[in-house]
Amino acid sequence: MNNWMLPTISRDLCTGCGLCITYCPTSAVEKIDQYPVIAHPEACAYCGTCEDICPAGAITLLYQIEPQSTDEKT
Amino acid sequence: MTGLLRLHGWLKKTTKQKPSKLDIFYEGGTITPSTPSHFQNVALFADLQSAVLQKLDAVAWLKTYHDAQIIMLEGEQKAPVFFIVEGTARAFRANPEGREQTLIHLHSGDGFNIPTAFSRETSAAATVIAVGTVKLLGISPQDFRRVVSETPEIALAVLGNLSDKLRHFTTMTHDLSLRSVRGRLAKFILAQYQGKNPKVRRWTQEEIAAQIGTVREVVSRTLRAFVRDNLIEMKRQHIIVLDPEGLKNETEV
Repeated sequence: MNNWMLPTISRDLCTGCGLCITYCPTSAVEKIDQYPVIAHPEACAYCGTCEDICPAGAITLLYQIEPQSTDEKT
Repeated sequence: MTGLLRLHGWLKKTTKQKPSKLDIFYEGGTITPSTPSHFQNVALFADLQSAVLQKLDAVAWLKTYHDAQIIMLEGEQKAPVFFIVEGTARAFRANPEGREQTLIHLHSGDGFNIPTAFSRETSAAATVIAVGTVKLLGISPQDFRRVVSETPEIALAVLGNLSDKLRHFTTMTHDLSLRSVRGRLAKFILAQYQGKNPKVRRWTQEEIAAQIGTVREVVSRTLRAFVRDNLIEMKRQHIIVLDPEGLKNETEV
């Protein structure tokens, strides 16, 4: 499985308000052609702030539920 | 009228996401009875002989839907009885604001809208949409009722399936009425952790909310509470179960 997932931003729903850019704690999001883009994916902490703050529900983060690996348990 | 308002609210939300959701894409056509029957892969008929199932072949058609396309709308009159040959679909109801409650995920071998063939109420009870590409066998409610009434083996198989669904919805009613949101979320996480859902998959918080009967913000807050309580750990897209016993205790509160 891809270990470096990024939030998905829907252009259909995005209103270009820029709140996600303002509130992103790591400045991973920038406005390009009037729409937010995760311009610095290496900075994205997958914290979910952008999803929480977006008033249009345009940003989604995916999650997978899994057990603790045996390495982490020891 | 209430049904129309609900439909309006849901359409307002979903058509903004993907304008193509309302396109019904038809592929295929009527099927010819064959050996083995096309219905042999439908779980509820798996134990029946092909000769018996060919009665269903004679009145069925094959249809393909693509991701997020609407297979059936809540309130739709005399919608067909469907059986999934391949793929996954999601059944849900929505309120006028577009908030959804997922009723059930349907997989290969499942049937839905079966009650329409036997009930005086002929409107579809829920909206069903494709999750990925879905291939379905469809039968008109009248034809399905006729074949079932003529074929006791098929009737018994249908009764068994409806009984299973009744049990599923009884459990859902109990969960929604008598479990807290923490309990419902804990139960959901445990079910994924224990592999009780057939396919390992990724979920958005919105999807989890629709599954457990709440809203995304509450899911987000409750997950953070579970992290604080050392029940789970969240590492980017991974929700790691640290304390399954603790989660089980949450479901019993």
